Amino acid sequence: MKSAPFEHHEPTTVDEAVSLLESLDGPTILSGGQSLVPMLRFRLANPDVVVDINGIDSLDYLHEEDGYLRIGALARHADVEDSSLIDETYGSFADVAPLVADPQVRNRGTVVGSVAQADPKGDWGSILLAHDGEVIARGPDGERTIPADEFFLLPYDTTLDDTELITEVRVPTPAPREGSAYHKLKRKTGDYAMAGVAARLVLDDDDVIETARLGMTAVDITNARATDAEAHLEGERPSSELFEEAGGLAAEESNPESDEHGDAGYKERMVDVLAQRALGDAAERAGLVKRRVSQ
Amino acid sequence: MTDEREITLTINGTEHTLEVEPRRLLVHAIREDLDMTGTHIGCDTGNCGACTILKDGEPIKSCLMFAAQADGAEILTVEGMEDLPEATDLHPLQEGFKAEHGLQCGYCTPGMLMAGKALLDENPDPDEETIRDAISGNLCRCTGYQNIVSSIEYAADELADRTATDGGAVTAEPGGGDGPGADDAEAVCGQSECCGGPDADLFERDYPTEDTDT
Amino acid sequence: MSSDHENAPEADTEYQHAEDDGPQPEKHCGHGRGGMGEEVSRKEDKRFITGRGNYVDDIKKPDMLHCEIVRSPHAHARVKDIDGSRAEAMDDVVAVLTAEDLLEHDLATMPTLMDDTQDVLVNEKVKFQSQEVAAVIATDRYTAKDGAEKVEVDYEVLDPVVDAQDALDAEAPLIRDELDDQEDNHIFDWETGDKDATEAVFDAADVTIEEDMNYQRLHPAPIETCGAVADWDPGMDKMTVHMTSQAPHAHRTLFSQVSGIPEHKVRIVSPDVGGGFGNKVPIYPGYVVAAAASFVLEQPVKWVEERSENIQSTGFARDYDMTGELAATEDGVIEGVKVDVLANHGAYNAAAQPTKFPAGFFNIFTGSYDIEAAYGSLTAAFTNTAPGGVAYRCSFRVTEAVYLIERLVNVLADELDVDPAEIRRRNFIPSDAFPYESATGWNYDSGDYEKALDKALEMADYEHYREEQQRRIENDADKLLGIGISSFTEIVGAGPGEQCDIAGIEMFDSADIRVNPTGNAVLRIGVQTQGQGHETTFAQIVAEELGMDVDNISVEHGDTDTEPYGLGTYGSRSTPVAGAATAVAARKVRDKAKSIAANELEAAEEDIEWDRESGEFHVAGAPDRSITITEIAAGAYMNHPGGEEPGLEATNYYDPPEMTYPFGSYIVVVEVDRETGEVDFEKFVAVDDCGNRINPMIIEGQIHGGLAQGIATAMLEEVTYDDNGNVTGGDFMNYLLPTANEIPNFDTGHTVTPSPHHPIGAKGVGESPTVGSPPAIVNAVVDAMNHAGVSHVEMPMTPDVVWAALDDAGLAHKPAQNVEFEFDGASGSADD
Repeated sequence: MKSAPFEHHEPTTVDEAVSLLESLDGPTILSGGQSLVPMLRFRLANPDVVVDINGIDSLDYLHEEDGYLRIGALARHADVEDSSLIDETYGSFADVAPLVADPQVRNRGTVVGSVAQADPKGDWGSILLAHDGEVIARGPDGERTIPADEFFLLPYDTTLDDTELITEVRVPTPAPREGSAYHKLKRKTGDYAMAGVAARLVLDDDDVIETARLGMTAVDITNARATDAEAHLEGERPSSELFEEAGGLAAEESNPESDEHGDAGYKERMVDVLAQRALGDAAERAGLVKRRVSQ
Repeated sequence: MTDEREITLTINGTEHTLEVEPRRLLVHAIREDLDMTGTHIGCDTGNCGACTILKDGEPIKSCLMFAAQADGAEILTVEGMEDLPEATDLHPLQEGFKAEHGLQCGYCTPGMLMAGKALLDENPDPDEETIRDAISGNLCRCTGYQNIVSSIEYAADELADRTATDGGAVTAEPGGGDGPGADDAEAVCGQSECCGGPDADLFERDYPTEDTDT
Repeated sequence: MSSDHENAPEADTEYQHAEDDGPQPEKHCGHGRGGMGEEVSRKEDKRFITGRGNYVDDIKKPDMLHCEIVRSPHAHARVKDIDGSRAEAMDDVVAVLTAEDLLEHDLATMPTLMDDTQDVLVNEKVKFQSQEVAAVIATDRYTAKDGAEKVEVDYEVLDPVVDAQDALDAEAPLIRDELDDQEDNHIFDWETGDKDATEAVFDAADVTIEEDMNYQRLHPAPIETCGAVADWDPGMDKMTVHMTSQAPHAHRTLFSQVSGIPEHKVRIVSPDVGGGFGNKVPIYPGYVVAAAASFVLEQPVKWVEERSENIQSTGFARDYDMTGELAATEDGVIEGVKVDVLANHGAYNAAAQPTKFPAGFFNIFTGSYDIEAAYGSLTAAFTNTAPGGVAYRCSFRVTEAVYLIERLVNVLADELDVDPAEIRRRNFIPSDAFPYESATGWNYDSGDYEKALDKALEMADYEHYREEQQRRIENDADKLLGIGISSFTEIVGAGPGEQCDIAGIEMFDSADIRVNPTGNAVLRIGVQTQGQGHETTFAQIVAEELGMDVDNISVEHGDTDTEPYGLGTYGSRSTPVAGAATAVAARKVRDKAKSIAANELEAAEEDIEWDRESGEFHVAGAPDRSITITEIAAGAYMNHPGGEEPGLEATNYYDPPEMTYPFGSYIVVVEVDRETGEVDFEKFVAVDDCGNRINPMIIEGQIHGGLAQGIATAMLEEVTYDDNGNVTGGDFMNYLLPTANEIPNFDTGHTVTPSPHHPIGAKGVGESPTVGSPPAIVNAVVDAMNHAGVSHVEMPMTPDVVWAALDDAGLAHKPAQNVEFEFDGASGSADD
């Protein structure tokens, strides 16, 4: 597979990139390229102009600052995997990073690129949703902050403007009694998710769930939250019974389609299972201890 | 700029300057422009890993990157392994693949060697699970992976032995690993109870006929 | 099929007598020279581990052009017009070829291996998605692709039919309307066995069982795709084609027949091949187009498939829809087997089988069991899918047969509540019954099935897992345990030529040994390695037979200009056929060497004895007066005895008297997750018997690889189509090859039951694991659920498929189904 010809621009600053996006006709942004390059090779994407942002060194970061974990547009999946910041505190990040594609792809592919790709089978969108994340975009009119909730529109379609560049995605640094997890079901390494659920719980001093978030992968036209399940969880104490109810609600909220990854009914059921598993891990990571109460 | 542009790639320590179209994949630049055909192509989607090289020390799939994007990069391909400092005649990974029968048709092997090299650079003493994950971006249709894992373990042991002895000189014999037959001193023929088995009368002569677990 | 062992070539028998008369050495294995049974490390490895392999796509010739094929996006469509003018107008595009251009050279069609006629480039009608419609030849591969994008094809889209059952419907669109007598999509019916006798057995039986099962469409998917570099030399009037070929000589003959170029002016070279597995047995349109383009343009032309082209257009495997039945006594003694098959052959009948076997060796479906009566029937249909039916790491449909019988035996065991190991034991062909003629006429050479099963059971710790399985059922555990067994018999090593041919060419094979004056040797063989290690194992046979050091023997293969004619490597036939040819040729060399030895040792020839242990001739009664082949070689060229031809070489064309029947028992233990349907391998034991073993290391490598492919089959892979005939599993994102994370470690063991008719007692082995393991895996997954009534699960057993079976059986669990949890604060504060 060989791409069609294109012009290749390599800006070294965000300003330069944004002005290229504004001035060029129908540019495509190239970052990690692990999804885009196959699309170019299959000629499913045939841009005349490619703006390659890999030379913008200022976007290569992953750090905590001003109450956020900030992931620059050039941070690779492997950077998350290898970061000393990413431990149990960011449980869902620690879970997801090694589950994305394979090692070589993780060395090249970026978190931001994956979010921008807006593939409903992508993992990072669910993580952002579960963490009340934000997408920072720079365009000709300056910078704007898009809540993850408002970012995804359709498969491969977002509220990002054609002239905008995502410079960063960020999530608030975890609360003291917060735990998160990501569970993903896939047929093999390198395959997209059959289904995935990210869960995040914040507890108050009485172990009551103050905030609950569930982000779902591959079971709707975009990565999606399970808001009914979240509402059901908030104000309650974690238990397997509660999580079972929440899992059921999340499954109801999901809208999977039957495809090669399984039929819709199966995927719904897996949302239920994965949500319960992720919630269980999140509760433990929030500092709770799992205790058997029957049998 | 669909016109060709000049780029510089340092491959296996040698600098190459070449003109490429922006759309030219790095793997094609390496294979076709620079005639280093050890790096292979097995798919169009970045799944098979036959094109794996090390770019600035990291394993990447050279079919998912344009050559122009590698301008100025340091690249290692299979052709450079024999010249690495830790290599003597062959690199310990190459020795491992031979000693442990870690290859059959050989097509995925260069990519596997690169993935193995990247792993051992990061983690000189990986466990089996770590090795399997490190090569999970590389498909092999022949070996079932078990001997590839052994091959990488062989190399890890070999490198550790060298470090332990004098930090470089090669003293270990082939067979220093722990795979079948590798350290089995009695095994001239690789079988522990090799001769005089049943059924000898069926043939011109009795080849080894006993039952042996491997 | 049966034939008696006396059909073995005379030379072979003669040599056997000669050896039998000689003294028998006490020890034979190894001798330290790299002979039979030694784990010699592979001669071919160095070039591969250093990046010096030479695969087709590595070949670069001066002025070489590149070919890109324009393929149909539709599965069924009439081609109304092809306009290549926009492509031809491009700089660096040299030519656009269509069927019309090929017709001028009489190259528009080509024969398939089953004597059907396939368009090289579509003449009138597209019959499957991705079929070859036009070709663009350009100076580099990017421009060729650009040109292909600019070829405009006007299609009239027709209704497709992709399912074989639907294709046989009276209302189904007629796919092959260009064939005069073809009024529907039916290709052929085939039957085997004795129908009446089988029906009688079924009527009288205590118990009968029946199961429907689908062996899904697979693709061999070697990591290297297919490709060719064709180079017409107008000065020599000679066509040289470097191509990914598992059968270079057969391809030469076919190339010559298709092109009209005399065969001595065609040279096929199969250089290093990056895996074949049956994919590289047929001839594909791309090869022909590259050759035609080179002929027309008088420049070398390279064509290399992309992965999606490989999966979507080249030979698939399997795609058998089977209904099997067993009749048995109440004690579980199987008396009869019946099977009915619907075979999807795609748009052309392009299966790769010996000509007289339209369903391959499928009629080995009586398996390892002594069954009184058997009957099978099969109907093959055309569909709007890629042509194929190749033997994917399989000896011609034996894979489907083994799957069928090994699944049926388990279904019977369930029905009678007999342990699956025990029911096999009750039905095995007894070890003293060989040679054994099966109900469908095969003549099994040798076997000891119970021994292999017993060994596997012991290695697997079978009883322990059975207990553990029961414990989990009683505890309603979240993870069920399943134990699966397969005690398979393979049939490999086609010929004999009288029965087996490819396009009329009998399936013999060949070896040519030339010992040089300085005492080393070159062996040339008619088979071609794609990773099996021929350069090593065949040298070991020569080392064994001639007492030479394996390092002093090189093996050449794959070039039709220099190698003796052979039928190629597939169906595990290399060792059974070319391995035999090698041994026989080596014995001929040794025979000639004997007279030179007599001359050199100044003794009468009848006093010269061969000592296999030392690898020397010596004078009877005087062991010190000895001479090696290496020493004799000099004499053959510098001091040859009067009356003898100088030189020391021999050729053998070996027509096997019979096939060989390797066998084994595999035991798989799986854990099934009742919440998700995921399956984990707990234990995987493989006991194989391939007769005498040439290189245990290489055998074990073959077993590992085949088992991985068996797991891929059982768990992941399928070429799928939607109703419009679009391939939905046509690349490596969707056709799921397992990675190292999906494949477990294997415990391998072996027994040795030599083949009585093979010169070195060997059988083929490369395909046993692919053939034998899928039923073991399915049996294991079914076994995990069969206490709840599950009798079958279709492949590939992806989590959703397994979960559906769990759900149907009422076995699916939700998290914390049986155990409730609360979550306490770490301090315990919430636990008031």
